Amino acid sequence: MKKIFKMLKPFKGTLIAAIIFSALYSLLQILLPVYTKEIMSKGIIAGDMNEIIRYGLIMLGLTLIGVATSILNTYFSTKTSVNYAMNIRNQVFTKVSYLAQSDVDKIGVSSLMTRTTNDVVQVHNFILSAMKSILPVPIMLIGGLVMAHSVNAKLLKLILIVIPVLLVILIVILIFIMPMYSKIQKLLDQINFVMRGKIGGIRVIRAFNKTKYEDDRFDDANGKLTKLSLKASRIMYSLLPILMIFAFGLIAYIIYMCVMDATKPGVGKQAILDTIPNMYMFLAYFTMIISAISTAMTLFVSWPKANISAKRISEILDSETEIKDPENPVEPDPEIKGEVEFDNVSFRYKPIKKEEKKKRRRAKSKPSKNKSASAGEENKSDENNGKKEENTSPDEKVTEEEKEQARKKAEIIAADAEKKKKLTDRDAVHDVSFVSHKGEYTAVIGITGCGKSSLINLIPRLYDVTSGSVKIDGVDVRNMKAEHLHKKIAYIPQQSYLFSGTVRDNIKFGNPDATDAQVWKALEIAQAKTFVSEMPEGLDSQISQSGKNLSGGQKQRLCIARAIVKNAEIYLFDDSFSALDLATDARLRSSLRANLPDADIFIVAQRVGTVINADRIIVMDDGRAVGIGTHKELIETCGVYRDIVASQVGLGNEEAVS
Amino acid sequence: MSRKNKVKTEDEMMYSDEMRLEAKYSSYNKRSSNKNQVKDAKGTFRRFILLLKPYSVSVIFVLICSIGVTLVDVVSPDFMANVIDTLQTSIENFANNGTPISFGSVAQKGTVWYELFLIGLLYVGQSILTFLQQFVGAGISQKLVFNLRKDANEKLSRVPLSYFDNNTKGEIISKVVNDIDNVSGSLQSTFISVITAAIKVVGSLYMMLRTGNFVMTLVAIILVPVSGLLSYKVSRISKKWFKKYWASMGALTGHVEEMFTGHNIVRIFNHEKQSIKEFKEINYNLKHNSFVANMISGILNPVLTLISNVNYVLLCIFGGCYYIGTWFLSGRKIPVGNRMGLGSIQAFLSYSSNFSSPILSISSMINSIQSSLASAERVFALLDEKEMSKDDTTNDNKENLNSEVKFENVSFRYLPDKPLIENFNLTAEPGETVAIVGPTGAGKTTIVNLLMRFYEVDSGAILLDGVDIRTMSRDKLRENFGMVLQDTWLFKGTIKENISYGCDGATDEQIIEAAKVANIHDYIMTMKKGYDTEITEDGTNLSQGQRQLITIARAVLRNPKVLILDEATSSVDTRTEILIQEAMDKLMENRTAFVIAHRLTTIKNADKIIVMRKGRIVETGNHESLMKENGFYASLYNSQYTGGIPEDAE
Repeated sequence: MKKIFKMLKPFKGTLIAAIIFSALYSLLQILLPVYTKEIMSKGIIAGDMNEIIRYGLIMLGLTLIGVATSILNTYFSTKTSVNYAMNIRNQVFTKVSYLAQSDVDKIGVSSLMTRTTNDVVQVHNFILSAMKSILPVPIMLIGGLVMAHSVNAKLLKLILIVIPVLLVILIVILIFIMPMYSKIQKLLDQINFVMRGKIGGIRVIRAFNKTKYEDDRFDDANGKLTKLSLKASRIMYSLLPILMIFAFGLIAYIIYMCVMDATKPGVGKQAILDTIPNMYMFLAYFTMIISAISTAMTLFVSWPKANISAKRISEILDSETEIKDPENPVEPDPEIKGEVEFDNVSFRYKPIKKEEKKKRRRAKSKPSKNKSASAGEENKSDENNGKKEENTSPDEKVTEEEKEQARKKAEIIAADAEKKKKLTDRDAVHDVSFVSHKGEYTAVIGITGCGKSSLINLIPRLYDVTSGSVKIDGVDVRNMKAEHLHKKIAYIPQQSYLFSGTVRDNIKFGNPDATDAQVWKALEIAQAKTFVSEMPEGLDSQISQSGKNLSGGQKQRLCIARAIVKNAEIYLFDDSFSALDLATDARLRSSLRANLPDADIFIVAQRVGTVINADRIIVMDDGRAVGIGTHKELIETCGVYRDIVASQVGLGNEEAVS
Repeated sequence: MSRKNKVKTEDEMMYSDEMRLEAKYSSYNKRSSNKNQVKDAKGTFRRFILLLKPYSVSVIFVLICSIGVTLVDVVSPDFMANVIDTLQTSIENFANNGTPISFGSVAQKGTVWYELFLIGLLYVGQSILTFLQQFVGAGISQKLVFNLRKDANEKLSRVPLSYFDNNTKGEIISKVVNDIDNVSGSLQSTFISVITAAIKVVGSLYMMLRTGNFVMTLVAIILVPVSGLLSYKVSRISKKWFKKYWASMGALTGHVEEMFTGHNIVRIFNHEKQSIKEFKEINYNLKHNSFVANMISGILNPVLTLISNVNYVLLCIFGGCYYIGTWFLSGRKIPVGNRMGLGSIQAFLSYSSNFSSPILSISSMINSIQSSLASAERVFALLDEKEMSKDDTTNDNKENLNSEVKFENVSFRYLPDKPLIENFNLTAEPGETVAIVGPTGAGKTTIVNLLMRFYEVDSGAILLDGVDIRTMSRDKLRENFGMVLQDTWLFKGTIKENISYGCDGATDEQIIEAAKVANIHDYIMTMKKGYDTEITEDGTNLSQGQRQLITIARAVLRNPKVLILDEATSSVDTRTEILIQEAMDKLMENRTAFVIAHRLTTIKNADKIIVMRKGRIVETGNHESLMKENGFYASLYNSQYTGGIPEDAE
């Protein structure tokens, strides 16, 4: 967190200038009351017009210099703080840009966003106000005290007693109010959250007649927020009148003391006549001291907020990405292109950290009931863990068993008990080996959660393998620079994602140097040519944020076109046809084959029709590759595959439809 | 996204890209740049004042309090002047003749202590009034916010679904949370400060004129218009730059959101450098705008200090003349009756600042007034949104035993000039499973929207057991339906809470039974906390398929008369789908069901298959008859394996 403030270093020059000018400014402020007093005593009371004008001009001269220093302070401090903020933002954004997806998931996109925007603004504001007051506060405090002392030493003692009293009152109130404000912030988040849920699920809420329930939830959060904000602001407000009465009492006392001191025996005539001007000067310093204290207080109050933000920012800047570029990257053999090798690969997702889990927890509506239920469940799962250890070794047996059990649905359900045991703390990918070459078409099929996507995600090194290795063109992906690795790969995600901009911008995202002809070609291969050319502005049509103005199928096809234009060695389709209707899906696959003859294509799929013509089908079941081979081979040897085929088209029919 | 990067100075480059980048994030800019524009300021303000009506007693109370507070501010310099003048005279007497100074006693009129006591009373009174004003005022504004939020939220429960389809989530949330906050925060305080400012200005002027010294009065106020105009102008300019600042902040947020959300894509497409470069450009603009905006508004304060010091000196010079009794330069005598004491000069200094401060603060407050009015306008726009038609409860008590669903000549379009569903007729016999198939954009989901009354038919009618669904309340109608959508919506809460959503009082056994039917029970049991596992806000700790299964379990638990499955199994693998299919078959027995599916194998067994294309039914029948017909359905069906039919225009 110190680190964040150390980042001011490059702006030392302007920072120091800002501080110097603020110091100058406050010194001038200290001189001013002297001259206002002189105007009054030597000018008005003494009846000397020349003195009035003389001191008036001095005062104006000082003010003019003051204005200049103040503007210069504003200039330098603003310059420092905006540059500093820009610098932090650049660093945070650059850092995040090179993080692994798993790191991004861990912190969350919305949190990363607030950290790059809001949190930086918080720190920026703090630095700005600190620069304007870091020297003025002590200067005005000390200067004010010294000057007040010279006016009336006795009254100064009064101030010295009063200040700590004020501080104590303020601190006590801060201790009460600060936690309230952070709680208010949380409640606002809660309202945000309820609202988000309501809008996102409006169809479901209405379909299930839960409008009333959602409204109640909202009212609850809203009511709590109102109550607390009211309490906090009322405490704040009750402070002010107390201070006002307190301040007036002091002023009255100061007037009395000034007059009493002047009437003591042995006071010179001039000093007696100066009583009232001195009193005003004393009051001016008194106000100066109080305002210096209150500036310091505001700074102290905003400190925790800025500190939290600074912490959140440095969390990102200090974070170690899970997937790092190697220190000595290996250049892949230029002779081999598009070869992917899985060598005994196992992979397991890292568990979410405890603190994050805690964050996600929510006050439960029916705590007692839930507690008992969850306790029971936990016992059960403990038992399962115990059993699991006995059962892990006969892997072969289990799959053999499953083959038979899977024949009928009833048997599957019976097997679920077995599966349950394996699933706890399981590998998402377990001991998978295969090699795929240039021009080959590898399909991955299996049920939901079997590890298909996990398997594919290991190729672009979105995650690191737990054991074994993934090699591309003969080099372990962990030994390649991410930039080189990614150059070889085109990836089409499960959930299509587009950027705002034109269609052309989006396609050229894959290859900034692509010509319009290449863009159109890619669109044609991706079966997107028709709808893009029907758009009023063709390639220049705007795509709104995340492609809201397109249908799911259109988005998917644009994502595919974006990958095609990249002209990569390896293509990864992570279930990227799901929003396409069957006809388009089929046309797209045949055009892919025809147009990318040299690419090494991986397709994660759920439909038998998609995989049937693959050079290699990998059948995933519970993280294991239970079958690797062509359709024909697998029909003979792999029970799981046979089940899938049977469930979709019926055994024996697949030849007819393929 | 390539760009010409010739040799340009940094600034030139930044600015040439500014337009393009800001155009790119125009949606963000639109939001931020419109922020301060109020279409009908007067009307909005009037309406805001009307919102205060329920609290009129408290509002009047607050007003009286703040008038009292201001009046003390206005008159106290006069009291103070008396004290100082009395003291100064006795001090001078003491200095010249040695007459002892007496503070007198509180009880004796005209003495210093008496005057000070009066001032003290005034201040105590003012403190109490301030406290009351703020205590009650805080109550009003918080209640106002509470009610506005409540109204806005309830409004959202009454607007038709199209509102949510046409507005982004962020915008709606921002209205309910940020805008309402903004309205309450500043409008209430500006309302009071405008009124007190008026009193202060008029009161101070009155107090100055009351002294009968028009020269001093003129001197005291002569520079106020200058500084008032200056702060107004400066705040106008800085407002422009702050707007620019917010626009670039919006562009930055937009870029960050896009790049972070598409992080995987950015990385795999080696787009990091480009994205960082764009970020830096936007960031540079942001810096520049923020610098200028802060600088301009930062200059104002010292300049105003200068002006007020000039004013101070002027008052001292003229005040000095009145004190001494001769005009400077000319040396003409001032009549004794017009002379002023030290305290009275000080009083003029106070009046002057009392007179100018509200004018200055209001001219600089114009921005925040504008922004809260703009917020108020947005909130009012939400509150004025057209609502769904009132529920007609005529047929609420009718028991629907058979659940026959009939579409009679139904026409509907989302956009008036884009016909979608025209003269649609369909009857689903009780217990029948009707499958709706067709290419994307054929209007399949629209049928569901109409059936659930998310949208209302333009003409024709939908009948449930012969009853027009518009003649029963929406709640009653929807009670009959169980729905599983492609979009799997789960909320943050336990799995158990998510399954039992819409089915209050379901027992654990029932929940587990439903989960078993949906084939998610076993998976749930593999999780450490089983049914008490928390689902994260967006359900990201479950796979798409698992989320789908949970929503299916939710529909199963509800045990509806009519089932609607809109691409319910699209995210589930075929093997799991088989299991679900059987569960569904069981569930659909004796129930009317509508199934929309891409994967035609899943609807092969449907009693009736409706093939839709461009809002019309092109074929009807069952699988066998449609295959025999060898029309659109047959080509769709065969294309699953082969491909090659013409693309349907979307």
